[in-house]
Amino acid sequence: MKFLALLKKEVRDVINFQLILGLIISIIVFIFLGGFIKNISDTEVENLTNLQIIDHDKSEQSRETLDLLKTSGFNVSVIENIEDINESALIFSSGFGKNILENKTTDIELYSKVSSLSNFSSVSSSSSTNAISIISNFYKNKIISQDVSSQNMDFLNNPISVKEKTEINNKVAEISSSTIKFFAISQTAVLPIIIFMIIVIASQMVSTAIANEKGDKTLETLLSTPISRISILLAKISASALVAIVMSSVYVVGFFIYMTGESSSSIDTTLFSDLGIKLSGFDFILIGIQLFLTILIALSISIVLGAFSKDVKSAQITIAPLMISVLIPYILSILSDIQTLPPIIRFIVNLIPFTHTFTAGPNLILQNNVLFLLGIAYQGIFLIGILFIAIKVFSSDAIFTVSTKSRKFKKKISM
Amino acid sequence: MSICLEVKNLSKKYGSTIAVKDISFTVNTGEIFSIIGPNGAGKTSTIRMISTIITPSSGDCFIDGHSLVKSPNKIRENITYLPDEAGAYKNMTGNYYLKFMASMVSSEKLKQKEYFENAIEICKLGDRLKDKISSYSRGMIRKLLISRAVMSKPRLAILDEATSGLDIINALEIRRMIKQLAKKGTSFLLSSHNMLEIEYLSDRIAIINKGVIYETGEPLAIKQKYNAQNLEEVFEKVAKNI
Repeated sequence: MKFLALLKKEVRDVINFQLILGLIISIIVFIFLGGFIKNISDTEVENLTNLQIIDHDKSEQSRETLDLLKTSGFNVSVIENIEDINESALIFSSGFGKNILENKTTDIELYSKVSSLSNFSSVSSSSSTNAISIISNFYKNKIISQDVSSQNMDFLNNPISVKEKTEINNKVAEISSSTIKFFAISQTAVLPIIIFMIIVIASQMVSTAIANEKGDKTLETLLSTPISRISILLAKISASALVAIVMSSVYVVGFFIYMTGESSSSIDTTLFSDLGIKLSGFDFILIGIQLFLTILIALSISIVLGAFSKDVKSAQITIAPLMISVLIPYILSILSDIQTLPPIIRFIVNLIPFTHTFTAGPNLILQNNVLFLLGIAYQGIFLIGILFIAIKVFSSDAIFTVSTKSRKFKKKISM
Repeated sequence: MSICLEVKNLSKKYGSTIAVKDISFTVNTGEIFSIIGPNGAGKTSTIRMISTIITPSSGDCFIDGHSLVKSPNKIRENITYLPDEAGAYKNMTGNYYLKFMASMVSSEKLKQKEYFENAIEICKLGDRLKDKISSYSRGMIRKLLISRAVMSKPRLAILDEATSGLDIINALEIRRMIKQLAKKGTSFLLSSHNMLEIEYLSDRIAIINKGVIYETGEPLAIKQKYNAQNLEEVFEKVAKNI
């Protein structure tokens, strides 16, 4: 019985408001993301059957190949120009039919346009790859069913030769889109993870520090000295800014070292530089600036939220909204291209200041400079707004009369 | 004796709850004035308003003619405040803390040095001031904080529950410290629910309950008025009449 009493007491300690709130938040985030990812997946599955073809040959064999693809379940649309390609297309060049008739390996050009670096964006180009495989098998089977001789063994082994061309940043290179994406993603892959970690660590650090200062009443003591409250707030933000500079610098240097290591590997990066997808030194500075802004925003929000915390424990609750607003764009940026989301969701996600940090790397690589600059401008405006709120909070009684000790923000009256 | 602090019709509301209702009193120079009352009576709200931590809903108070409402910074230059159960920056040493707080009070190096030396003399913590505050006992922290509160010889030192949670010896030392400093001209505004302590320390007291001051005067006079042995009995009788 004593054990049961102890167990009951321990369970009551563990199952607290923080835990329940955390669970509720997790469920909400997962419901939101789950529904959202299902929407993306459905769209991409549709894309798996969409296939664009440019037929320069217009021979009987090319028409036969088109019919084969249609009967294989592809929604084939025949287009005339490269400009009409959405993401990728197969191009039958002239001589396609003649080569097949002569049992010679024939070329099919796989032309891809890279406009997004998200994981799901690579799904659509795989329809073209699937189609090539079907065409290749078709002609292999055709030979096997006819006459296998030494003359057509080469054709049997390799009926189709794929020539890949990829367009990115309005430049075209004879390289596969997957290689380009691999290189581009490798430059920004660690970015969201580090940003997420920095924001979480820095925010918890600041909100806990403020909550501690409130709990120890050192803040009360400080506010009764002949120093303006704005000076106290500015000192806190400046210290946070210093931390932000150090953290941003460490990150940028670390990132640069990582990229130097990446560049010194077997991959020849000259081509990627020519295509404009290799981050330059200036790009690193821009990323550093945006990271600095991001951390400042997170720290300023943490100062405001920490000001409403009664103690360290409640500080963890108060920064929950901040964590969610980081988590949502973090996951979305990994899975999808935020700028291709449905307008309302895109608008909401773009309102979150951290979204622009997660999209900064891909925007720089894909030379979406306007989007990058708009992101920085929005973050600047957001920062000014949150600093204004912080000044208001520190200049009012709210910092001592409102706390988040209980479920709701309630007045804490200490008479 | 000149007036150090004049409180005029001070009130504080939190939403629809009235924490302090239209209170008025004065504190003279070199006087120890105490506000006594039970928990939730309005002591801390009153003290927080006078300390410029929270703003009054109505009314005002004056120190050397400076208005709390109009120029809180001028009030801050003349007061020091020690909250109930306050801590100090645990990662600092006692010396560093005192120097840091001296620099908050004055930007003049000479004055900072003077305040720091005053604090060292008052707190009597000796070599322990070189240690981190995290290693201090509760009594040591309180002594450090009180020395911080009086090191600049403010016109008014406001101490909320100055000796709460301290053992008998530490509490006694701090009471003596307050008395000595008052003799040297510092005015004190104390708040406590320890009526025996207040009776020993105070020149005058105000009895507050439910945000209203019911009695103000010298402890002896108030005891005689209510025909009571001590202030606890006075408070009991006052509370019954409310």
